[in-house]
Amino acid sequence: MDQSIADILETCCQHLARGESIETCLAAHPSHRAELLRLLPIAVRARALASDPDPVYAAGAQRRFRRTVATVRASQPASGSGILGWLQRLALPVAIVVVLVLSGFGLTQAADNTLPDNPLYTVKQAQESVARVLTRGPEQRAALEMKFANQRLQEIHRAELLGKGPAVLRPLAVQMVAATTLATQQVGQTSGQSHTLLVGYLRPLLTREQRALEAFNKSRNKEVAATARQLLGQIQADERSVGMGSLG
Amino acid sequence: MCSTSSDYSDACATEIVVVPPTFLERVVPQQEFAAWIARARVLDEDAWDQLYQSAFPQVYRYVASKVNGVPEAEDITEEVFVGALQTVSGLRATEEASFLAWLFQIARNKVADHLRRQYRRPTEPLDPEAEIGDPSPTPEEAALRADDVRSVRAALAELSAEQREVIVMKFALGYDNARAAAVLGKSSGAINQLQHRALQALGRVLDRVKA
Repeated sequence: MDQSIADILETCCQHLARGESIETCLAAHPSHRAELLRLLPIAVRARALASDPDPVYAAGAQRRFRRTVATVRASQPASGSGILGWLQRLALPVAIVVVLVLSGFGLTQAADNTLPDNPLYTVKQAQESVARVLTRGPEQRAALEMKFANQRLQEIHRAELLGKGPAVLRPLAVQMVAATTLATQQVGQTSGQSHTLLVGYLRPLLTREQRALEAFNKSRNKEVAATARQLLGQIQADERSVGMGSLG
Repeated sequence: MCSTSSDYSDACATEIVVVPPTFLERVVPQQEFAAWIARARVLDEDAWDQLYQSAFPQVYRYVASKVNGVPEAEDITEEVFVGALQTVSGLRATEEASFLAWLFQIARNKVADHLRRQYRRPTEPLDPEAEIGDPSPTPEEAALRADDVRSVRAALAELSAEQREVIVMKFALGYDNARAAAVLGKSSGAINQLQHRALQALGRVLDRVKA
């Protein structure tokens, strides 16, 4: 009995989709009239869920997707061959094992608060390298690089408080700007709400970095000041990318 | 306007939206599709173009059946394809139905993320005419239709996952039983049974909400 009404219902739904009326179905199946009378109007209402994309939006979405595919394809590293390729393929699992083993001993946690003059700082760098390799997609990569840039900024502030010299400050500043530039490039590959959101995070980060570098620029230490001037140019280029609309 | 599940009238019958089975508009030979997927795994741009054109309207319809608001449906649909691009290396599908099933799985996750965000930060659409599934001519009718589509969408959320999926496949995407069965991994007979139970369940929820 159930099979029968299920089949009849399907037949009636097909007829409704072709433009026939509910009454026609009811007349064709009088013994199931009550059940069909209840279910067919629900089927009609369910059909109202159908909605096709706006053609203008669809064309734009396709163009954006084509660009995304081309960008992702271009950003893929060329597959290595021979010994070098084999070593490249081995690098990721080895890095993962190293970080997992180290984290088992609590070293990665201990490395969290270190600065470049601490031997444990290399553990933190290894962690970040693994995260970079494992992260896919412009949104995620942009967010990760912004997080690293922000961490370098915090480390710069801590280094200043501790009175560290150029040997610590300079590599931190270089790494901070490098991460920001990578983040800016990744944000440029995003679109829609995620793009707006990421630009919203990127702008204040650029401002904070610029302030930190301007303070360095006034430093009495010539080495730090020279590095700061050079990096400021890069930060300003990143800011222009955001401000000129290629990102925003 | 069919305001309740038991509201039957000629007016209801004229509200039928005829949904063409999009996948039948362009039948792709199986071997060709398998080749596209293989090339898409290595980010071949032409292969992605073909797959995108074949799947985009279906993914949009799928997403639009689950979220309120055109901008949301558009953003999520684009996110689905970006998500697909990010995970295509792990795709095992070789035929269109399993490729679509994979895309719909990504879409389900994206919609769930969206609904979680919306739950934390609820918003109302500014313009009732921006509601999905809303071809009515006057603002009053548009608002009434939008309310009805909204209530059906909300009622769908109370169905089991299988029931919800069969309603979406059959009514929002316009799939026939064979197509829905292929995408959902079931037999055509099982789809018939599931559709029957799903419409019964949907009617119960709509009646309860109305009451």
